[in-house]
Amino acid sequence: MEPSLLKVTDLRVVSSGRGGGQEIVRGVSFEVREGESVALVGESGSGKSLTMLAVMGLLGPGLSSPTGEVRFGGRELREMPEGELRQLRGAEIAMIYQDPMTSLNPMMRIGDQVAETLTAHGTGGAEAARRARKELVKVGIPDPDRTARAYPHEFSGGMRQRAMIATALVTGPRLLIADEPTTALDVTIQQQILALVRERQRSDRMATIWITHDLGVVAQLVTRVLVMYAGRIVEDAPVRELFAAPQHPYTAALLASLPHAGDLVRAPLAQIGGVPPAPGSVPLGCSFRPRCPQAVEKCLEDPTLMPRHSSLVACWVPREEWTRC
Amino acid sequence: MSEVGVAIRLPSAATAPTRGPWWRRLLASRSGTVGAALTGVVILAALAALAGLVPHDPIVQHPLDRLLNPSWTYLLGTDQFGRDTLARCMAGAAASLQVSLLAVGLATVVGTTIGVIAGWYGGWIDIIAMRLTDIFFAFPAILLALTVIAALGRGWFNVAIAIAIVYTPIFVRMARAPVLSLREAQYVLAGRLLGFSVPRLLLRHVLPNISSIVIVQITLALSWAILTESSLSFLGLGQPPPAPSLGQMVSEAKSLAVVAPWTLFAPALVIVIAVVGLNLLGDGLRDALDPTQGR
Repeated sequence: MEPSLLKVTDLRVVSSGRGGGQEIVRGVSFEVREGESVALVGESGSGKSLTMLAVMGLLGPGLSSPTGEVRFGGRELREMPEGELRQLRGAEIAMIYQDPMTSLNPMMRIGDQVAETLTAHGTGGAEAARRARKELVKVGIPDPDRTARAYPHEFSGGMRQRAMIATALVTGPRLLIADEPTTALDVTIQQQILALVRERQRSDRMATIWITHDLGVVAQLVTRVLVMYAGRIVEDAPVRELFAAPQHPYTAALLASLPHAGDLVRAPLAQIGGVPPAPGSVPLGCSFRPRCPQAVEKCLEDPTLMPRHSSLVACWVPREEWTRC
Repeated sequence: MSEVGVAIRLPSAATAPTRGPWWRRLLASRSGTVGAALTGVVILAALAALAGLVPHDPIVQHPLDRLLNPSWTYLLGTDQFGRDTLARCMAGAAASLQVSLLAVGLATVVGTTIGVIAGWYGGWIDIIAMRLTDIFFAFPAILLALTVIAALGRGWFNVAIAIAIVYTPIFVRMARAPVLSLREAQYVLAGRLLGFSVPRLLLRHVLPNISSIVIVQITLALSWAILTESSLSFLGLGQPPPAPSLGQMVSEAKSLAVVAPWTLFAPALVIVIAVVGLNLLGDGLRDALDPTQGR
């Protein structure tokens, strides 16, 4: 088995300031091995992006500094001084995210933006420019001598997303965090971008964490899925097992609500009743209990991640004892 | 939204090219052309005066040629000491521009720096910066400048400092507002995620994106600074005589308006040309540097 690359233990993020004090990330633990591809799925507001920003030490204002352990390549990131952490960001951990339209500086040429990741980490200007051009070709942007001089507004959405991926991958990071990198793109471009990142992941032996709410994207890309609900990981399972036999009722409900292209009957889409709890009003015990069809008396106690078959699940009721589906 | 945007932009798109370098788009708009021309005339006259290319010495008095009408010898006539009005206007324009450029330069550097830092860090730094600008805004510009000169003493350098102090808060406000939104911009967040330092983010990503606003503001502030400088020298607080200055010339010519109107009109006209020119140039630049237009 590959050595551990990122190990997060009991990560917690609390909102601060006026009306603060609510726990938004409530004790998240997981591990990513070198070269592994993992998905972090969950509804909007479940704390996926916040978890990853906390890992990188980049929480915005209004959030307390996280507690818990974040070990990357054997080093504890939470105790690392900001200067060292900055050297790590971009060089060893890179992140790409949602909106290619606004994530490039409109006043800066594409080539310069790709090269800047390198110069910010100490590479000389000429060498950085040369590697930036090579990187542009690698992400599928042709004619780099010309395109490197273009400004972002001269690029299409797909091209901009490729350019942004180039800014993240040009340093050859060991871990890539992809925060819904394809939601703003149409389906064909989406497939191209996913294929591109998967290809780079294999060739560079780079670990990847996909943050998404699209289980369809997950199925083709990853080996393991972490399901997040209300600031916690409720299931950590290999992707096959997750789709074949979800162990947590929330995962099962998520899978049931996926539309299938082959459905002949125009049945209404399945949905999960109720809404996710707001931070600060998370119910006692299991946070999914009020919406859960399998809930029993025992669910008033807070479940922790427990091994079941080849997965880790935070649920008291084993799949075999589920009463309704 | 896009429909409205297109409807509003069509007329200007018909007169101005939406692509090409900024100066070509500037010169393609009427206010840009006129503004650049007027400003250019004043700047050329001032440069000529600095280079000594004046028809007569602006300070030397010709007691026999007092209050002459405009003629081929004295194109804009002479004042009550027989000094050439044209030469004095050119030298006065040079003095005004010198003071205004220094003042606006200081205000731009200091104000933009404070504004960017206040907007970026927020919190108590921002609160203090904003309340200080509020205090400065509460005073009329001239009164504030008078107070500063009273404290520092006369002289062109002190006048420049006084005007800089008056206009610095405007640059603070002007720079702060866009930084508030830029610090949340996706590409600034992307920079943080890529491990960029704060100076790098501010200098390479934030500043270039507010540069067009700053440039327009500099042009407008220059026109206000020329007005303020003229007002101060009109009140006798600018350069001490006999050094020529536009405001002081207007002040001295008040009583001569009937006998020798050119002594009043000439310096007043130079002020008007400079102020109108810089304002039109500012308008033209605002359109030419609009980031929503193609580059």
